[in-house]
Order: sequence, then structure tokens, then C-alpha cells
Amino acid sequence: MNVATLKPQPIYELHGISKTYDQGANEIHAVRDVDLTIDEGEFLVVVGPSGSGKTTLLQLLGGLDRPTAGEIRFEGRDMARLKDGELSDLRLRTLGFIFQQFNLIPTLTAAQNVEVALAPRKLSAHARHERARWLLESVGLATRAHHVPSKLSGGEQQRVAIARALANEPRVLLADEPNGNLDSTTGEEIIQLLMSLSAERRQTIVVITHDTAIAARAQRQLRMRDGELLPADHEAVAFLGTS
Amino acid sequence: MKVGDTITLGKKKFTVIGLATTPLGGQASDIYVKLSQLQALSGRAGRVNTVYVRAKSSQQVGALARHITQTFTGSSVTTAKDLADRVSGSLVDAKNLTNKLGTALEIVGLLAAFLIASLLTLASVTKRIRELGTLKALGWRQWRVVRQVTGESLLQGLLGGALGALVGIAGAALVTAFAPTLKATVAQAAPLAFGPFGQGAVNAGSTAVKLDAPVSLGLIALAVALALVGGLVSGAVGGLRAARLRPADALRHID
Ligand SMILES: Nc1ncnc2c1ncn2[C@@H]1O[C@H](COP(=O)(O)OP(=O)(O)OP(=O)(O)O)[C@@H](O)[C@H]1O
Ligand SMILES: [Mg+2]
Repeated sequence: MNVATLKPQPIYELHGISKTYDQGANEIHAVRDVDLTIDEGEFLVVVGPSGSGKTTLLQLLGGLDRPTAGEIRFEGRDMARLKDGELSDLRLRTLGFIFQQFNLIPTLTAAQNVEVALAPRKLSAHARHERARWLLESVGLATRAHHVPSKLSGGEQQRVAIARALANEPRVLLADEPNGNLDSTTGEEIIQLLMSLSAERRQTIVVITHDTAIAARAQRQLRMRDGELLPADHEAVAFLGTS
Repeated sequence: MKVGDTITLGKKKFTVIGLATTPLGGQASDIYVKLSQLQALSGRAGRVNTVYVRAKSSQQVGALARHITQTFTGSSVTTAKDLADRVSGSLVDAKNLTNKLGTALEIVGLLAAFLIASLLTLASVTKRIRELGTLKALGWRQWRVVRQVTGESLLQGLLGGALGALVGIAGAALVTAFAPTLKATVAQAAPLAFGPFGQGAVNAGSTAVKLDAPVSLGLIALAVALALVGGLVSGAVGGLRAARLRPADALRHID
């Protein structure tokens, strides 16, 4: 075992991250003063009660929103310095998102929904079709490629969303309660799918979930409360991770 | 009343020598008496207030009218041509009215085409803010989102234009089919004279002018063009507004 595998590079470094919403008279501190380092290839689960700031934190990691204070470094680059278009490019090349509501385009077929994530790429139409077909196959939906989302079950829709999130071969996958709208069996399948796909690709994955069983299986668990990150199991997991 | 009866007019007795039938559509006097007797009776000996003159030919009407005006100072002459002018004058008014109505309908139609397209587009863009936020989350840049929305609203503009044109054509057809016919009515040339020829010589004229709203192909093309412009502009504006949102805000948008 060489030194590189023992000490992976951090992909995210967060210093004093806060996100405050101005709601007239009172301010809402969705995320407060979070310090966090995420290593390349980590499978990270975020848990916490509703309203504790999990979604807000994930959106900050994905460049979907900007913090009101603090600094987020992605692969060493300060994300605050990236313009709107550069953040789009970062998401296009490096990040993948999975949402609780699936967020598929209702008028497009499963295959077209996957192709949407490839549209900004310089690919021939044929290459795009082929790639979408292959991605749907890898999530077990080859036969549903030409169905619109309303003709698919919730689990199938989330599989389409996973295929879409993987279309750009992202180094980081950010999933906000990917099983939150599914029954527990289907949700479990979705999480299994995510874990196996990430293991194949050595992706960094951050998953928000309310499911304690899933959280228990994670390499590392982050717990949030009132916008703050609880120190909790970090040390123990780090110990497990190096053993 | 019958022939042989006597009636009293201005303290003088007159014997009825005949009964006259009232001409249809004209005005008749109640009693016809000899002009000289009537003049004596009303203390206006040698005076008349209306004289009907017939020219030998229509070409002479103008000259004759001028001659009469010069001969009888203080008199006014009304020729059949004047009456005809008054009739057609009001017909021109009616025609103007229909033209104005047509123009108003055209403007309303064009406005409707523009507004329908704009509002449809804006509404659909607003409904799709989450969708557009998703596109940005997937790595689409602002301009690509705007281009997509604008392209789609071009199609929607065509649809809105076609719809507007249909509404316009249907509206015009309805107006043409059911509109009331406008009537131009000429004021009666009132015969004021007592006397043997005292019936109205010119009857009230009335001419129908049908209201119609002609729809030209040019107008429809203009409506479609306006709808396209409306769709494009509101698509671009709405698309830009949505695309400029941070994806987090767009995704949280509730439609
Ligand atoms: N745009 C906003 N404006 C105002 N307040 C907001 C906004 N977005 C989030 N909040 C508030 O910030 C806090 C954290 O919200 P967030 O969505 O991050 O919670 P969460 O942990 O994901 O909750 P859940 O488990 O219910 O999804 C909440 O109190 C929420 O009301
Ligand atoms: Mg949430």
C-alpha cells in the first residue's frame, strides 16, 4: 500500500460556511459556520432532522447556491470566484445531482431526459443516443427508454434520474434524499444501485437520507442540527476507514 | 265630411267641393283652398313661401337655381341634387363608420394575437422555472437555457398567431353574418306650402349599408408576425429571468 492510497486528496474543503436567509425582520440561519473536508472517493451520508440545513449544504457543495459567509474550495479552487457560467461548466463536467422530487422533464422520454445532461457536450446525436441507451441499461431500464416520466413508477423515475446524473461521468455525485419519495424496498434498491455504481467508478458521493439503516452502512456519517454540523462519529469512522 | 258640407275657416264659410286622397309616403295638407283666397284670409296677399319649379332638363338645374336666387332676393333654392347629396352624404358617413369599425376590429385582433402569444409564453416559462433550474443544475449555461426557451416560444408564438388569426377570421365572419344593416335616412324635404301642389315632392330616401369586416391575408400575416414577436420577446425575457436565478432558487420555485 503506498502513501497515496492511505492519504487521499481532499476534493472539498469548507471553512466557516454559513448560509443566512433574510426573511424581513428575522434571519434564518440555514447553515452555520460549517468546517468540513471531503476526500476524493468518499461515500458520505448526511442525516439530521427536517430543517437542519442538509439540502442547503448540498446545494452549496453543488454550486447551486452561494454561501453568505465562508469559503468552499473544490479541488483547491475557491468556488466564490467562479462566475455563474463557470459553475455551470463545473456541474456539467464534474458534478451529478439526484433530487428527492426526481426533477425529470415531464414532456421528454426517459432517454431524452438522460440526453438533456449531454446536450451541452460536443457529441454527435448518434453518440448521445447510444450513451443514453447504455446508461438506462445500466440502471435496469433498457425497456423503458421511450416512456415519459408519467408512465413510469417512482422507482423507475429515480433510476432515470440516476442515469441522467451519471451521464457526464461525474467525479462527485450529490443526492438529496434519493429514496425519500419511494417505499423502503425501492428506496433500498436505489441506494444499493448508487453504492455499486460509485464503487465501480470511485466517485465521491454525498447522500442525504432520513433512513438510519442506510446511514449506518455509510463509510462516514455527517449529522446536522439547526444548521450546525455535529462532530459526532467523524473520528471513529476515520479510524475505521484507515484500518 | 262629404261634398256639399260647409266648413268655417277664419270666419269665412267654404263649401266642400271634393275630397282628396292622401298620397302614400308624402305629406298632405288638411284642406286645399284657392291660393288667392288663402292669401286674403291670412293677410298675406300676393305672397307664397314655397314654389316648386321643374326644369326642362337636368342640365339646366344649376343655371335655373342661380337665376331664381338672383330674381327673388332673399329666397333659397333647394334642388333635387342637394337632396341627393344629403342622402349620399349620410351614406358616406355610414361607410366611414363601417371602415372605422373594421380598423378597430383589426387593431383588437392584432393586439389579441400579440397578447395571447406573450401571455401564453410568459405563463409557460413561469410554470417551467423548476425545469429550467434543473437544466442549469445539469450544467446548462444561461444562454443555452434562454435559447431553448426562446426556440420553444417561437413555436408557441406560431400557435398563438394561428389561434389569433382564427379568432380574427371567425370574429369578422360573425360580424358580417349578424351585424345590423346601417341605414342612412335623409331628412324629409318638408313641403310647407299651402296650395294645390303641397305634397312632399321628394320622399325621404333611405339606403342600406351593410356592415362588414373584411379580413385580408396581409392582416392575418401581420397578426401571426405580431404573435411571433410577442412569443419571442416574452420567451427571451422570461427565459432570461428564469435562467439568471440561482438553481437553488429556481428548484425551490413553486408553480
Ligand atoms: N429560500 C429560503 N428562504 C428562506 N428560508 C429558507 C430557504 N431555503 C431554506 N430555508 C430554511 O432554511 C432551513 C434549512 O432548510 P433545508 O432545506 O436546508 O433543510 P433540510 O435539512 O434539507 O430539511 P428537510 O429534511 O425537510 O429537507 C429551514 O429552516 C428552511 O426553512
Ligand atoms: Mg432537504
